[in-house]
Amino acid sequence: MLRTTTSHMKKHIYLITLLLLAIGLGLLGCSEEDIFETTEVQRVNSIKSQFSPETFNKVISNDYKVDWNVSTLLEHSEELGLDYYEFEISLSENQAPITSKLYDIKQSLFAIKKEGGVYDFYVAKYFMDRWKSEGKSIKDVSFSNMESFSGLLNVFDNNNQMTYAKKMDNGKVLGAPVSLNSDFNTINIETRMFENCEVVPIYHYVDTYHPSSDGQWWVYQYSDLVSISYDLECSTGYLPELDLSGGAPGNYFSQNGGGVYTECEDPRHGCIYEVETELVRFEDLIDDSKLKPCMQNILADIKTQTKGVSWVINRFNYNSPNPYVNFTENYNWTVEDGSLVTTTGETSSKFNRTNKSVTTIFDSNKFGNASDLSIARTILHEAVHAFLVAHFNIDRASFVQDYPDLISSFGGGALTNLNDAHHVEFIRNWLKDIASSLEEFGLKRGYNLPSQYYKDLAWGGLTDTYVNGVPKETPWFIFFVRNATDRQRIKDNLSIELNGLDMNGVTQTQKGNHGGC
Amino acid sequence: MEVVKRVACLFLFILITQPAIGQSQLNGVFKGLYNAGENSVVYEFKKDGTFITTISGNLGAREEGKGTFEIRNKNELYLEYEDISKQSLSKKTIKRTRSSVSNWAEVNLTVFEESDSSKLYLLPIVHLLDNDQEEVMAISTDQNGFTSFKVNGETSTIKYLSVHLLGYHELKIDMNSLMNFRNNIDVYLYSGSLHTISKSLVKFKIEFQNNSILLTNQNGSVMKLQKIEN
Repeated sequence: MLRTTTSHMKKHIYLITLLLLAIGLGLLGCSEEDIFETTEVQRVNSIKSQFSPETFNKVISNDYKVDWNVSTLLEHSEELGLDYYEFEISLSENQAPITSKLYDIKQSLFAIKKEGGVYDFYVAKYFMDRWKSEGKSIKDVSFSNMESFSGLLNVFDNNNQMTYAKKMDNGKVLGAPVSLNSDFNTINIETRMFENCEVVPIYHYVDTYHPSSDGQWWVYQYSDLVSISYDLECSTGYLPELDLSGGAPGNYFSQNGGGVYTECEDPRHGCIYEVETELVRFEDLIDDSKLKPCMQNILADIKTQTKGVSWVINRFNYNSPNPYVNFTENYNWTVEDGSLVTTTGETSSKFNRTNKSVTTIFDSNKFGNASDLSIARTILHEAVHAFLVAHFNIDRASFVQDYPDLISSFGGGALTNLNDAHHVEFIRNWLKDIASSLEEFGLKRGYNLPSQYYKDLAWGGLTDTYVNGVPKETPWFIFFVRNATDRQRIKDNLSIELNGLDMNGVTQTQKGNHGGC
Repeated sequence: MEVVKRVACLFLFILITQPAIGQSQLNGVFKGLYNAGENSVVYEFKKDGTFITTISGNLGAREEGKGTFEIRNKNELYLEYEDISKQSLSKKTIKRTRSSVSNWAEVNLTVFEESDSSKLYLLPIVHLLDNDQEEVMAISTDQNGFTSFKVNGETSTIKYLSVHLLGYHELKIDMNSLMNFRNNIDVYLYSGSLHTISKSLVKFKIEFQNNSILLTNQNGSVMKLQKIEN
C-alpha cells in the first residue's frame, strides 16, 4: 500500500514538473530552435532557403552571389537591439567592379533574426574613405567591426529604400545614426535630409551607337563630352550612396557597353556623369556640309522621310522596317557640291578607309533648270551607288552572298563598266523602292501626281548606256518596259524634270517645282 | 549669158565645197548629257578630220575612242573609230623559286587594291585564258585575297592569266613566263576604267543649231551637244 502510494506520488510530481516546464516554455515564448540544438550549417541553410537573390535586383543591379559562410556567427547589436548574421556579397567574375576614387566599397547581406526562425534581409553598403583609411582593408569591415572605420554605411531594403545610415570618422559616429525601418530604431531624419549639399560638376556626354552588321543590336562608337554644368547636389540622409549607375567620381565605366569617362578631377566631392544615348539613323550620318543650299534643302526633306535613303537601302536584302541601315557600322556618306566636267552627279568607286566614307559629288550648276523631283531622284540614285561601294569594301562576305549576280557580272565580261553592273542591281532590287521614296518626297512637297509618274522618274540613270561608242537603250530597260511608247514617255519625263525639255528638245512644263539651284 | 555662167559657177562651187562647209562647222569640243544626266559624252572634232570621244559615267566609268569623221549628204555624221590600246596601270610583283617538277607553273597569287593595299577578296577575279584569250575558268580569291593553282605546260590549254574585275585595270600575265617556277605573285589592281572603243563605224543624223548640234542615232534617240570649246 505504502509502495503504491509512493509510486503514485512520484507519478504526480513528475506530471506536475512536466506541466510547470510546459507553462514555463510557453511563457518564455521558446521556439523549437531554442529547445533543440541546431547546427550552424542548418541555420545558414535555413537562412539561405528564405533568401531570394532576385528580390534585391533593385539594390544590386549586377550579377552577384552571397558567400554563405557557415562559420558566420550570430551577432547582437546593442545599438539596434537585434540579432543578425552578416554575409559578404561578391559580384560575379564577369561583372565590372564598382570603382570610385573616393571610397573602397563593400556590400554585404544582413539576415536579421525574427521570431520563429524567420529572417528579414537587407543589403549593407560600406563606403570606406580612402583618404582616411590608408593601410586598412575594407574586407575587414563589418557591422560589428567598425571601431576605426571612416566613411559611410547605408543599409537598403529590397525596394532600394535606405533603412539605416551612419557616417563615421575613425570609428566615431558623426551626428546620430539614421533609421527608417521597423527593424531598426525609428528616428525621424527629415530635418537632416538636405544638410549635406555640394556643388558638383556634371559632365554631359552623348554616346553614339550605330547598328550592328545584322541590325539586331547597337554597337557603341564613341562618346562626345558636350558640356559641363554645375549643380547643387544635396544628399539624402547623411550622405547618399553615390549614384554608381550614373557615375561615381573618378573613372566611370559604362555598364551598357558604352564609354569610359575620366574627366572628373575632384576626389573630394566627386562628380556626376550624365550620359545620353544617341541612336544614329543612316540619314544622320550623311555629311552634306559642302553641298549647295538648294540641294541641302531637298536632302533635308529626304532625311526626314519615313521611306528615306536608309529605307530604300534596307528594303532590299533585309526586308526590314528598321529605319537604320543594317550594315552602316563604320559607313558614312559624304555629299559635296563640285564642278563636274560631264555628269550631274558622280559617286566615287573608292571607299575612304580613313574616314569610312564614300563621296558623291553633285554639280548643282547642272541642275540650273532642274525640278526638285529631278534632284531628289538623283540623290536617291547616288545613295544606292554609295551604299553598294561601301558594302563592297566593308563586308565582302555578305556582299558576295547578297549580290551573286552582281559578283558574276564583275568578271563575266557581259558588262563593260561598273556603273552598268550597279544599275542592273538597281533594277533587280531597288527600282520600286526608289519610286516609293520619291512619291513620299512629292507628297511632302504637296504634289498630287500619280504613282506611275514617280515610277517613271525612278528609272533615272538606268535607261541608256553606250556600247562601243554607240548610245543605246539598256537591255534591262527594254526588257522591263516592253512598250517603246512607254519608254519614250519615261525618258521624256526624266528629261523634262531635269532641264524642262523633252527628248526632242521641245520645252515642256515640269511637274515638280524649280529645284532652286 | 554672163549671169547664167555666174549662177552655174556658184552652184558648182557650193556643190564642191558643201561637205567641207559641214565639216568646218564641226570643229571644236561638244558635250552632251544623256541617260538623264547619269552619263555624258564629249566629242572633240578637229580640223584635220579626226575626233576623240570620251564617255563618262558614275563610279569612274569611262570609255574612250578616236578616229576620223565625215559629214555626208549634209546631215549624216560618220565616226570611224580605230583600234587604240591603253596601258594598264595595275602592277605586279613576282617572287619565284625553281620548281622541282618541270613543265608546271605553280602560282600563289594575292590581289590588292592599288590605292590602299587592301585585299580584294572573295571575288571571281583570276581568269585563266586560252590561246585565243577566251576564258577557260575563273577563280575566286579567299578571305585573304589569296588563291593558288598549278598549270601543266604540256597538257593545259591555259596560256594566259588575267586578273580582272569591273572597275579596275586588267593585268595579264603570259603563263609561259611562269613555267618551271613556284611563283608568289602580288597583284595591285588600279581602280579605274580602261575601256576603249574598238574599231567600228558609227552613224548619226546631225542637225546644226546655234552653238550646238543634235545627234540622232539609228533608234531615233536624240542627243543635244553643246559646243564648249572651239
